[in-house]
Amino acid sequence: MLGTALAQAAPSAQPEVPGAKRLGDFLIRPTQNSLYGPGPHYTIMFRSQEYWPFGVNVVKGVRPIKAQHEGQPMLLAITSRADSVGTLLVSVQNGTPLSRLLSPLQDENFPDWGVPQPGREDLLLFAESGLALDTRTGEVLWFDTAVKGSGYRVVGTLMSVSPDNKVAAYLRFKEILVAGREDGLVAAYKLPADANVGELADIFKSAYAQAAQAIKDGVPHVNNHRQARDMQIAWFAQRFHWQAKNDTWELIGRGLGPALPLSER
Amino acid sequence: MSNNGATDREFLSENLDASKALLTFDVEFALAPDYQPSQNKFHGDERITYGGIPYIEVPYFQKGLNVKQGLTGLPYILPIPYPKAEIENGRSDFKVFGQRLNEQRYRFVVPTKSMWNSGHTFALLFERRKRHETITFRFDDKTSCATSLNVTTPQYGYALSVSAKFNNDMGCLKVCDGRPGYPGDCAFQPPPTSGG
Repeated sequence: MLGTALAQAAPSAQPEVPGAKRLGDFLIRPTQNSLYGPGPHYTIMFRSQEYWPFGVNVVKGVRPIKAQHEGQPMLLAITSRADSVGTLLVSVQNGTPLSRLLSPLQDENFPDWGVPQPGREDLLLFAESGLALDTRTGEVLWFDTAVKGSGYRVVGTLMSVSPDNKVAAYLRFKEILVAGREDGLVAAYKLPADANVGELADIFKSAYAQAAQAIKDGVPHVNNHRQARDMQIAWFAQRFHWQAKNDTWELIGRGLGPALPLSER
Repeated sequence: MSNNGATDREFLSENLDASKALLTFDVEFALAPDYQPSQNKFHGDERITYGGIPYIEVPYFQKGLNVKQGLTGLPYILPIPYPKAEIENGRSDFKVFGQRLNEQRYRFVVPTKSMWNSGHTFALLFERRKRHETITFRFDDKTSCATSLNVTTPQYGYALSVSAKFNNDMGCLKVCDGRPGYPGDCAFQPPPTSGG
């Protein structure tokens, strides 16, 4: 009993490390030099106990989001290269901090903090993993791209989530898919020809040119794929948008033809 | 179980003796999981494998002294075998399929394994419309705290309410981050509270 009382009293008794940040009962402590490479790394403490998300003892960055769970802030955390997990959502459940993987690590120099959806800045899109995070509620939004009747799931890049968070649009090489939750794919559209060979090709070319220029200018790390992805999301929001129809949302936009029959796919 | 041989690693909860188990684990799914039970028998032995039902995966650990054969006799011109003692770490997993009480409620029995120690963790695995979900739990039968929890799964955020029943009416149940690739293991063991 005395032990637990002392443990609860410990956080206030502990001398604060310079640069340590307190977020609710979380304490984010920076470490300058470690075996994990240069730059500050952080240790997450929760109620005077260290918390290693997915067994990772130092993280590269921590950001709180607006949402809270059990009165504690929810955190976005990025693991370092050595542990190679990715972007995590840390939230407290029944008094224990737990993590959910939002985006697997792809480029250690450009961690994926999620792209705010144009027009809905509270919603973060994790395009490659196909997940979105509503930072107001802390809800992780997933969509199922399974084709009805056949077991298989189509892989696409998440572009936009509908205003009610029920359906989302995925971009593929020659088509746009609208995926729901329980019943899998809702609709599929042919990607307009001028988008595929025209505007999207221009995006990739300009992202490549920017990256090439950055390397000439001496910028150390440039990821043109990440840049192209951000530009694609902006382009998608400009060209396509959601329209309410029979208490669901439909994708409309310039050059978008009628929905393709899903059964033929 | 009629044939509790060494090769068996899959069980049905209804065939296990709950009084000899580590704990009984009740789950209520907010959304019903897939239930398409199937059974297969291996040709080589009499083992039966099951599928299509929510199940738990329970790892066990063993540390034992094993005697191995070493060879000596300088560069093996005259090889002399000699016994060599080695400490070995073993791991073994049990798969226990749930007993379906109704569409949303399942009961699992977390069995003991003779001569093996439990790591005091296990994972619950299930599918909903072919979407796989895994959630890992840690338990403790020495201390006393909450044994009924409302939890959210890490991948799809399904809501479950779980409760554990320990044989000595004392115990603790917690959710932990699963260790990828090792179903039933927690990724992180929090250090014991220093207690000042």
